[in-house]
Amino acid sequence: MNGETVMIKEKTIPVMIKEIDEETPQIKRFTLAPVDDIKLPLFSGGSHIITYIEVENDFIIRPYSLTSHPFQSASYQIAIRLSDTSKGGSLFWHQQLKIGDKLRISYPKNYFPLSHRAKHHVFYAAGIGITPFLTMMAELRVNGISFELHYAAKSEELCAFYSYIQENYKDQSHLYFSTQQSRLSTESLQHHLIGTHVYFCGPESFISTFTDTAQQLGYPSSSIHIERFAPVQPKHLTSFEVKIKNGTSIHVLKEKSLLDALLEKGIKASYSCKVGRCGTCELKVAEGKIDHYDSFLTEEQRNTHKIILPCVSRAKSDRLVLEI
Amino acid sequence: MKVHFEKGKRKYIFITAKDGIPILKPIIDQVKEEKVPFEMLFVDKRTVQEIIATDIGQCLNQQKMGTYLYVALPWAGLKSMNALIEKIGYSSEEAQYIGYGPRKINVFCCRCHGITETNEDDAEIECKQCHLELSISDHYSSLRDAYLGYVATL
Repeated sequence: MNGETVMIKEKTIPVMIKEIDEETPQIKRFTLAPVDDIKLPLFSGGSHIITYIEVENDFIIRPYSLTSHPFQSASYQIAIRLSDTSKGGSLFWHQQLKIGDKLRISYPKNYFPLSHRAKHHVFYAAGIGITPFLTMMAELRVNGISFELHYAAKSEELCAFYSYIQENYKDQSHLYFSTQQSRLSTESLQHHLIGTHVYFCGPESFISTFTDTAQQLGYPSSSIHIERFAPVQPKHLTSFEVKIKNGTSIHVLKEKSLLDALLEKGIKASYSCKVGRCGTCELKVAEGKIDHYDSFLTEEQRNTHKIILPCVSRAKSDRLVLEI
Repeated sequence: MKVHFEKGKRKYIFITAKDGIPILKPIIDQVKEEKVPFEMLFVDKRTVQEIIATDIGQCLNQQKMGTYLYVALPWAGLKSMNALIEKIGYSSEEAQYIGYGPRKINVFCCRCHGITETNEDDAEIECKQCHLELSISDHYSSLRDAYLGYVATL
């Protein structure tokens, strides 16, 4: 939260918290029902919503994967893990919000859709990474399409949606609990037949290990799908200067994203996912070299150093000149 | 048609007839040098459908992710082999198709919209349906699988 008044730039739906259920001591599931007598839009598996909670003169804005059935419209469900490094979002949801509280949500968006070319879908989840796969499995079940789930958690008690998965997807699921010396490894990637698409969601190290293994085995890039809940963290952060068309210079601190620095300066930069996924914030670069941390641009686009996704990427050189 | 070596795969499968072997030889040599497992599947005089339904089809169905195909066949059989291999589940990133020999193309008549088959090297043809003389352009429609034929002489 930056203390400035934030306008919501998109059309939103007013909802209220209808139920709060504890999946695990760290993960709560929230049921959101429309305030007005309307049906919520149906959505496709892998979709998420942006939640807007008004606090004083500001909004807490956070995206969360939908976990409710994509083909039911009475309510939505999201599951939120209390982050150890919460900047206010998950902490507020867990500690401040109660049944009956009102908020606004975006219409569902999907940057992590199912591939309709796949003959078989395999989901790899770690911890809260299970959430987008719940709606994907529901959609595939309705359409009679083959899938399997590999899901790692510390234990049964700390495994969110354990009962739900056992009840609905027992035959398709492989669960791994580290406290029982059962660990999810990349070994199963070696055995998937042609036509399989793999999906990874979880901590960054989990995603990069599985992605690297799939690529080394020769999986084509179009068969590998990833969802990040947080942007890739650069190993070494430095501050840098940015100059824009009207001559304004902005100093981007090492702990700030370029996007946030632009927004704080009152520059109307578009954005959406803030994890380098959707491309909404794409800006043209006139001068300077870029350290890309997104998963949107192609290798070719990155190598030109002419385009940047400011929500996650930074300057490699001391200075960038933006065409904005 | 140029063939390029797609590095980084766990297994290569070469599907070809006798005349396609020289085309694939440079790639086969590279695969041997890289010491990556590979398999040769020979297409004989059976129809593509028969082939896919029997041994080659079964073999391709059992392959794991990371397998890459090189298919070198006469143009006449290549398109249907392509369609059937995609049906098994191989994406365009998992296969290269190399045609050889005489190639027939379809020409879409700008007047009657009929399709006329002709040789690849022809510059002008007569539409089989309305007999208009057509000049074959390089505008290709993947929907029609045909090149646009303009009026050759006004």
